[in-house]
Amino acid sequence: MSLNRRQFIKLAGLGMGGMLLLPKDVEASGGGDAENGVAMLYDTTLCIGCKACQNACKDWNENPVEPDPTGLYDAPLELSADTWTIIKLYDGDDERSFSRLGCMHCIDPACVAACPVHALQKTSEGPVVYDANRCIGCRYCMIACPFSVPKFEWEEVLPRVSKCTFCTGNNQNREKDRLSVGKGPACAEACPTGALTWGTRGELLSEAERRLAENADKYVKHIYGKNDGGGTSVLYLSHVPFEKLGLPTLGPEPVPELNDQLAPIILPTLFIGGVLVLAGAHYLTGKKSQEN
Amino acid sequence: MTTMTKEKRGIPLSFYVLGLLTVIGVGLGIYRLAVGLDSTTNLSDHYPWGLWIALDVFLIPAAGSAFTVSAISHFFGREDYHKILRPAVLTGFLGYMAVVAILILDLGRWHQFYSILLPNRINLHSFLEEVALSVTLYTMVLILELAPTFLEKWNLDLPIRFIESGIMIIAGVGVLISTVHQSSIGSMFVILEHRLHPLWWTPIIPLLFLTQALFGGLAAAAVVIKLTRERLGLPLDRKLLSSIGKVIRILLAFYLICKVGDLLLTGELGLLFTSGSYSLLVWLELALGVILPLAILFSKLGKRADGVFWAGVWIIIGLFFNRVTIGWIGLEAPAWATYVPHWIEVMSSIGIAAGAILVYMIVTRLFDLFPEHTH
Repeated sequence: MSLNRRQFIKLAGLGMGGMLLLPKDVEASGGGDAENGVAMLYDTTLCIGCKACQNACKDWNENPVEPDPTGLYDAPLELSADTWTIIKLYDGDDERSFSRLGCMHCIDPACVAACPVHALQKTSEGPVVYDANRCIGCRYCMIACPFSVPKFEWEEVLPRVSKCTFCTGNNQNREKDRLSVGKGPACAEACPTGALTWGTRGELLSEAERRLAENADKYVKHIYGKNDGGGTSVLYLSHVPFEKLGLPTLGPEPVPELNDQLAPIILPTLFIGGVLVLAGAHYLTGKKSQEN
Repeated sequence: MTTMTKEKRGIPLSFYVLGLLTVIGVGLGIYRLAVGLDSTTNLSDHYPWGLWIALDVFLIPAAGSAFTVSAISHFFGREDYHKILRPAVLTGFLGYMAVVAILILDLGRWHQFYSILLPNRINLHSFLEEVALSVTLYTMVLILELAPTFLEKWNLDLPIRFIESGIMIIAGVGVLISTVHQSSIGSMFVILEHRLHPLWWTPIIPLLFLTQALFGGLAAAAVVIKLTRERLGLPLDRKLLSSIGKVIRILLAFYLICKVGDLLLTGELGLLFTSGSYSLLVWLELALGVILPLAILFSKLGKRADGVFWAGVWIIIGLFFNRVTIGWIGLEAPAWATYVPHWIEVMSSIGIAAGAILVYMIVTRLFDLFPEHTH
């Protein structure tokens, strides 16, 4: 279906006067450096659901706990402005699995393409970081993210967008920056079983390949995030289908691909087209009224 | 808007009603900016966008009256369209003012609104940025186009002559910016393939949005001009209205072909019957907003001012359905999540709309929207 659409836009482009010929191979913003950037690998077969990652995240980032209506805490049901990573349980008929969800730190992130003011940026080190001083609070990033990761501080008067920073402190809050002092993200360093590990994306990809090769019968034969949605910096190995973990089914093309192809050409195309139409109409109708 | 048959010297009741609604809306708007979104809206992480965005996405093409009439009268050699240029441009301008007002209410960090204008911040790959920049620029163009209406009241001939000497350039820039951003609003949804229901998501959404703005803008012009002239007790130019109707019907037919053709080519025609309430929505939108006005405009009714007026009304209603679906209802949210607009979202929107209508009515009374001497 997605292939059909892509062929279709090319057809439509030709129909629009051949002006919408799409440039091929737009470079993903992460480019070839993605393998050297930091990443995480989560393996469902090793996860015991202890939520140490979830707590470590809250501790390090000083995010408030979210008590239930009786005042008991802390068991948030979903990601929120205060919960940047969460452990969930998939309980199927004859299979079960824990799932850890949070920002995927995509190589070519939809939130970054959507943001009108570059408040969200993909750093060359890998993390996708947020700058509240630029943000206008339009929430386009929240709609654009296929993982529904960015959340909003709804209860604030001037809310910020809030999500996992890969423990970079968004490159602004030095106190919360673990990466620059050689530490890994709090969640990965807290994991007692090695279900969540961190390293460069290249290292983790070969580690994931190794696990897949050595225990082929244990895993679904796929590294989620290697190519899904154009590739992500958080990778998943799973013994249950990935959609059961709450991960969307995405093609290998980056989510913002079509957007990024249209962005540089649609403006000049319409502008030149518009000038031609207006000038043409003006010339032709002017000629007609002169004849009369 | 209601038409009043008898025009009295005093201030009619409708002014008071609209004024009251405006005051309530402005008050609620200020309250919302002061206290945040949590207690004044029902927006949430599941529904980051709601009524306000939907209304903006609807109002921009409806305010297309300015650029469509401007293009036809200035560049397509239709002198007769000059007569309706002022009300069409005023409608467009007030529409954009309403859009900006609603957008500011919607922005969580409205205090940093200026970010969209700072060259070191803006992201030109974001179609939202393209829309924001265009709306800002275009508003300035509209102010220039509108200025003579006000300046002539005080006989300020010099600035009027200055604007009129450059009117082709001003109007041309306005038409071009409009063409670009009307399509860019559609392009904003290109990146939302995973969110927007496939009945509405298509790679040709920029083309669909531009076409809608062309017929939607002309429809709005036809509706507004009929109402205004009736109110002022001026005769209707039947020939002009039916000529607008003829342009509209070509655009409507083109839109219908693109819309159905897109579903056909992508093999999604079945969705028209299998998507439950979404199927119903798309049928409503196409039946009321496209097919019904097409039928009116291709029948004998299309030659009558009433026919074009009602076709215009149905087009606006259909456009409303379409844009509310794309900006809100058709965007996927978890099945358990709900969103019904908060009464403050509703009343502030009504207040802003009432304010725009009120200003239009006041300008109609105090200034000359239908000058006879235009050449």
